[in-house]
Amino acid sequence: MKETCTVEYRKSTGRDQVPPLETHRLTVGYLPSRRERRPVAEGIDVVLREGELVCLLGPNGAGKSTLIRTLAGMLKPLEGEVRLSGDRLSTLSAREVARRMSLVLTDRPAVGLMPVATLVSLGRHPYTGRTGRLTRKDEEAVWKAMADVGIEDLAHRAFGELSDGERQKAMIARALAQEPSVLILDEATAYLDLPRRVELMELLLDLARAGGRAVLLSTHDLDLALRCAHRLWLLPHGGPLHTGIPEDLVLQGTFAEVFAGSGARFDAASGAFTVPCTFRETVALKADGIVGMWTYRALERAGYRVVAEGGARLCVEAVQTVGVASWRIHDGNRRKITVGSLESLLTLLETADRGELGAVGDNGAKDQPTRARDFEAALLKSVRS
Amino acid sequence: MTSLRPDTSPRHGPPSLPHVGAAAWWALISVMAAAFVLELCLGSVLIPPRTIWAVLSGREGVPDAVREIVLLYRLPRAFTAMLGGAALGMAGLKMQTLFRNPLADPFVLGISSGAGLGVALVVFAAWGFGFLSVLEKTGILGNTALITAAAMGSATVLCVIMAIARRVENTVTLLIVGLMFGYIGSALVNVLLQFALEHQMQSYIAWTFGSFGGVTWRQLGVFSPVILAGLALAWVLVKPLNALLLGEGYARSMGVNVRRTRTGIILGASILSGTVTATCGPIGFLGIAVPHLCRLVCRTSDHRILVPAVILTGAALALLADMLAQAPGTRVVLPLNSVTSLIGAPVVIGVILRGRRTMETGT
Repeated sequence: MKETCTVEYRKSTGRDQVPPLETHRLTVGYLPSRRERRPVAEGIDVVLREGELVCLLGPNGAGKSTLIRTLAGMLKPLEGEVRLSGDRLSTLSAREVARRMSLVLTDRPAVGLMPVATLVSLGRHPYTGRTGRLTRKDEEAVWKAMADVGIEDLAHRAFGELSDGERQKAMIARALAQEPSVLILDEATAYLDLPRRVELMELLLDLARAGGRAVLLSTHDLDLALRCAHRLWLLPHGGPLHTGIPEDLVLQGTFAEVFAGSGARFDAASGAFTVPCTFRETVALKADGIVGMWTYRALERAGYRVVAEGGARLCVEAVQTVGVASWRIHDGNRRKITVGSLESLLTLLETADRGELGAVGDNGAKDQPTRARDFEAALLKSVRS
Repeated sequence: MTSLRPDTSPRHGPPSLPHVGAAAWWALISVMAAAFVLELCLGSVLIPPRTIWAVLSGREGVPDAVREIVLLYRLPRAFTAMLGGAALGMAGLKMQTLFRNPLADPFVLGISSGAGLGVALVVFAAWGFGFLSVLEKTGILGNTALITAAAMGSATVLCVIMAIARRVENTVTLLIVGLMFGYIGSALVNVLLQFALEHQMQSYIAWTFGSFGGVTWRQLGVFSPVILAGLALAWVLVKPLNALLLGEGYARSMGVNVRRTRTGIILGASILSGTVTATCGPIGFLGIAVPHLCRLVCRTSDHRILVPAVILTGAALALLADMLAQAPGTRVVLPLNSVTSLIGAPVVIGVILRGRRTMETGT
């Protein structure tokens, strides 16, 4: 299945030239002692193409870092080979490798006092002479790298004064100054908050597409990877590596399979991971749009099985009047109770479920009218039962 | 000194990268030159600069005693201090970058302990064979014996460290091995001291005080080429040293042969610190403080700037410390080691506390 995928892709893009990075029957792992061989993933055949952003995903301990380090030449492969633009990695000089491939690692460099421009100019290392003196061309490459990442304003700031997001950009600019055809990033989004991560992914997409580079990113950010990556490499425990475009991998169930048994369950319908729990009651939901989505999430998190309208006795309906959302609960007896927040809704359902009188009034909704109504509802319900 | 900050003035066209202005370099060179002249003038007797100039230019009419003081004592002493300070600063800078540790100094790999052990062995063994008295009578020969012993001690430690460095992949492991060598060395010295006679103990302790004095022109003829060669090796390593600032992983990814660079750094730094220790005793503080001062004043970790700055600052500071140690105008001579630490440590504390924010990430 994966094979045909690859073939089709190659045909459709019509690219016959040598890919910037490919592996042949690659086995990665460690050699703890001379006799022992500890393979982590075996028989890896992958291709990284120009203009492509690939995300390497896998559960912790599956060997993402080992694979990245092997591709980067920091670890020797146990078997097979890595090729950079057709040449075997092991036959190239360190300088030649550095001109074709650059890295952004998880190491945090201790260069607090170094101005960003100087840091980025370190990326010219494989091009400069013995003294490291920068030529006009080198300086231009440094400024272009900073411009591509959008950190020209930070050029003269000390690296130690930057925020995490800015540091990561500076390190990417440094990698770009190496003018590589392959850019490899290990967990580059790890320290960043969500907006910064989205921004970084967009930047990487841009660097791949506009710059004609191949970008490989190992990440734990499954959601972002599903949305942004051109292609995923999925590495389950014990291999083998699966490749394909994100949507195919989801539809084929490969995605769920790779992350099975890691506590969370991949829900193909929402494209997100959910924490499995036993459902206590079924609630029908009549709502759509953003309000519907978040109501669904709230109910699901509280442990209710949510079905379409008419599927259960208890029905929650979201009502939107003049942009303000409220929620109406019907039961089989056509009683309707309206609440003003999801918190009140959950508390009400909870209280009604346990039949505890007055609990709503004590720690439920804060706004007076709703609170009164909630109290009344709980009262009614408990009297009824 | 504020003019040493990187030039950040806006320019036209593609802006140039930060660098340090020429005026700042001239300021640093003048400070060093002034310290050199002061070192020649001050001492147990004050010799005015005009007389110094007269002696150096070989003019007549200068008393023989003054000529002797300047040519046989103060001039070699000043050269030793200059080269020694530069060497210790450079060795410290290399070690701090290699181990990515702001507390590393030139002796972190046990070089000075090796030298100390060599000296201790000579002091006691010589007594054992009964020719220490001979050595002591001919003062200069005794000095040479100590220098040779210290050099052999440092060289032995260096050889062992290099042998281990070839086998060990991890730099931190190497650092720990070096520290352990230091402990073994000091422990052995302590054992020897336990059985030492009083005057032996004194001659050993005098050596540990450190001094730039007592170096002859002939010794300087060996000392200076070795130090200059060690400093030249640092210039060659500027580029990989900069790459190493990012850590070994990044350095390798930028095409640096990490193993070879590490060998070069350790060899260069150890030759520098070993030679200085052998000639002048274990002089503390300069090696750890000079790189920090340069970083804080130049506000950069770039070795293209730091290497020359460390050489000039190290030379100037060593001259000033030696000058103070001689307590000008008195017959007292203070231990050089105490002076470097007493004057230098508060300075570094002050500078570091003021620039705390930038010190967060150390080197």
